[in-house]
Amino acid sequence: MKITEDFRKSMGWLHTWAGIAVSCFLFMVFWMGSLAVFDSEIDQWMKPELRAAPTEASASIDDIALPILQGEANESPRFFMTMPRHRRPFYSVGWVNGDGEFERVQINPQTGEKVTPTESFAGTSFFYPFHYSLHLPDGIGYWIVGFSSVAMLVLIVSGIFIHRKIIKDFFTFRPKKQLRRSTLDLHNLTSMIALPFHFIFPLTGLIIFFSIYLPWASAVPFQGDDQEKFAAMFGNAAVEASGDPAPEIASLQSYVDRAEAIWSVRNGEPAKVDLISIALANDANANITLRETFPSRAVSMSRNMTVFDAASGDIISDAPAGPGRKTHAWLSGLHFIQFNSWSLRWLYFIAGLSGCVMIASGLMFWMRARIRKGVIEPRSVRVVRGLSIGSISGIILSSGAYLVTNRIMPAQYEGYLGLDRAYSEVVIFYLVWIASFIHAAIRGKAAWREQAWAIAATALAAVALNWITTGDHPVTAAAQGLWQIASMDLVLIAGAFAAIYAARKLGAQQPETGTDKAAAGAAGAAEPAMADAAVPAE
Amino acid sequence: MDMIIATLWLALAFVLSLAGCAMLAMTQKPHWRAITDSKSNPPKTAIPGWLCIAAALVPCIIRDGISFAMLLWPLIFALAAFSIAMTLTYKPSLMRPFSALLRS
Amino acid sequence: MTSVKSSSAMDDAIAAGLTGSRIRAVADSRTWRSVLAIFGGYAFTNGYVALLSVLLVYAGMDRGEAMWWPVLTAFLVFTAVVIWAAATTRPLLTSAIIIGGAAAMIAIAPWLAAL
Repeated sequence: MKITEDFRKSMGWLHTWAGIAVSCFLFMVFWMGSLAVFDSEIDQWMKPELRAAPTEASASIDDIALPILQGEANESPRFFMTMPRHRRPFYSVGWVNGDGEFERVQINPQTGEKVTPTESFAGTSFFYPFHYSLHLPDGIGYWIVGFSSVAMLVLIVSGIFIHRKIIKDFFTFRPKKQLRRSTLDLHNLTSMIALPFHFIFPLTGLIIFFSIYLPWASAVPFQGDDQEKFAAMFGNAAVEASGDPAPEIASLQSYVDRAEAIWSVRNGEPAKVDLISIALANDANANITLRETFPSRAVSMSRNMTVFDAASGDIISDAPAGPGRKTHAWLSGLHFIQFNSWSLRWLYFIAGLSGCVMIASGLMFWMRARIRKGVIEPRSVRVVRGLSIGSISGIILSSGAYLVTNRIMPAQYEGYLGLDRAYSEVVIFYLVWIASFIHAAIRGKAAWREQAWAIAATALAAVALNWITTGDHPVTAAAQGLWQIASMDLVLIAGAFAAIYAARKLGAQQPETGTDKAAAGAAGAAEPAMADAAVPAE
Repeated sequence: MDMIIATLWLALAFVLSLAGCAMLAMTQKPHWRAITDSKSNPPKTAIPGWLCIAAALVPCIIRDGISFAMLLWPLIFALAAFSIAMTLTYKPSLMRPFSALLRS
Repeated sequence: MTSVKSSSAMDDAIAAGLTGSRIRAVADSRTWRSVLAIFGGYAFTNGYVALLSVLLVYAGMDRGEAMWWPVLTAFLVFTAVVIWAAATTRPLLTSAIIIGGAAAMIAIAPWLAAL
């Protein structure tokens, strides 16, 4: 297909308006996603009781599981247990308690004792779910994230089409040029260098939640029977309750041994059970699922899964994955990154932040192009700027405030007004976030700079408070082998410096002059086609 | 020992990507002139540049296997491209020795 | 884009059969293109997944596997439809294909599955 001028113009229109529509949400998703890369590390930072260098387990699976299974979890219809892994050195056991609530405990693999961590949602239960659900009620957040993800795919494709000189601009960043020009450079640069990353992440995110986004379509061959659908797609067992009392489970270890033996032969390499779950645990038809959910040295997740009948010990389901399921396992594993590779983890984090810069610079370029069109600042710019400040620097600031709150609130804090400690932290997060929107509405452009200063102060305060409340400043943490804590503190310090740099840069902003012909040309076009790099050959 | 070797493979992948990106950047007149501080015409190094970037996949595979390498390679490329862009922005003369190497 | 001159003969024919240039103008508007891209694209994607999964089962694929391939490609189809809706120079024809295609696939899939 020939790329005509009309086509390019339509792509410019699409890129501009799809970008304006979803950028604020996309930034939240990218920011929280970047934090979620280190969710377990954030957990350990916020719950000092969990800080422990990885160790070998000495308490066996049966030592841990059977007392709970025959005691507190006796009546529970569900039961699960995950094994200690490189980033989470504890057993985690969950069941439904007598009040019908889901209960979850962490158990030290060496002593077999329960750990009672500081009550907090922290990384795995606040930042990480924020990434895909925005914590909005009734699944609204999933749909907003899904919509934004499709828009992101469209933005990438349209962005490539409008960009004339990909190679020419690839390495170009001109910070000394007019601000609009350098904003566009930054947008192009951060988009282009990590392009495959920016495309594959929204795509795999959508695929992970396909059953939400394509509910009806994927039910057609199964006449709407979801249990049957998942059984066929994932190899689960579709079993119905009988109403008779449950069989006694004498040992889980024996199932683990059997499953690992089957998988090792099938794959030709050792495999390890990392998740045991019991469905219909209080029924005669109880079944035990053993999975290798997150292999440590492979991208693909959930490659191995075997389901046993708890009464007879027979295998109910053990279908090896076909090519479709394998492809899905690789794609979703790529998004979940639970494998053991620190180099990839850090690269993901950096690429995620580059996505944040891409989105923020895109929004800023749009605003600057708009301002140039009229003498007075248009209302559209003021509205978009308010929303951008709130959802860019505002969410960074409130994330920092969340960490600070966690360290200030005593571990035994009861909470107030009927809210427990974990929710009190979340309330502070949202109060700071709302305040950042109000601040942006009042202060306008100056809010960027002021919030950047606030971010720097918050990040440094978090490091200091961690030191004061736990004694683990980066050096002692590193000396104890707590690299996760030391690294997090160092990232916070680096973040503070980045914020100070940004604040000073924003403070020293030169007034916009009309000397840059290229930028003036771009702004004067019918649409401020963002990536339309009408750069004159120099 | 294993860790040192793994780090070396990683470094090799990064250096290859860096060299590849540098060669690609040098095919562009403004970059070439900024690097060499001269009015000469840029060399035709696009193909060797792409080859270097492709070659960076090899140490990634040796280090971590094909599955991890498919993720490692593009991300290392991104880091290398960003490093080259920043060098060109703030200190293009750093790349002068490399440009001299290409000219000879 | 608002002043698309390269209208096709087929588009004109469709337009003439309805109420002429009025409908063409609506179909060419950005509002309509947005609606078409979002809702038409979503319906088309659902239809695509439903129909392809049923067809793959007919072709002898295991039911679970037959589900995966349409799911894995669905969002690429969605993206392509959005790009097309924004870029088309024959908005009426494109609208007809997207909406008609979505409706047809959504109708045929359950019917085929029930056979």
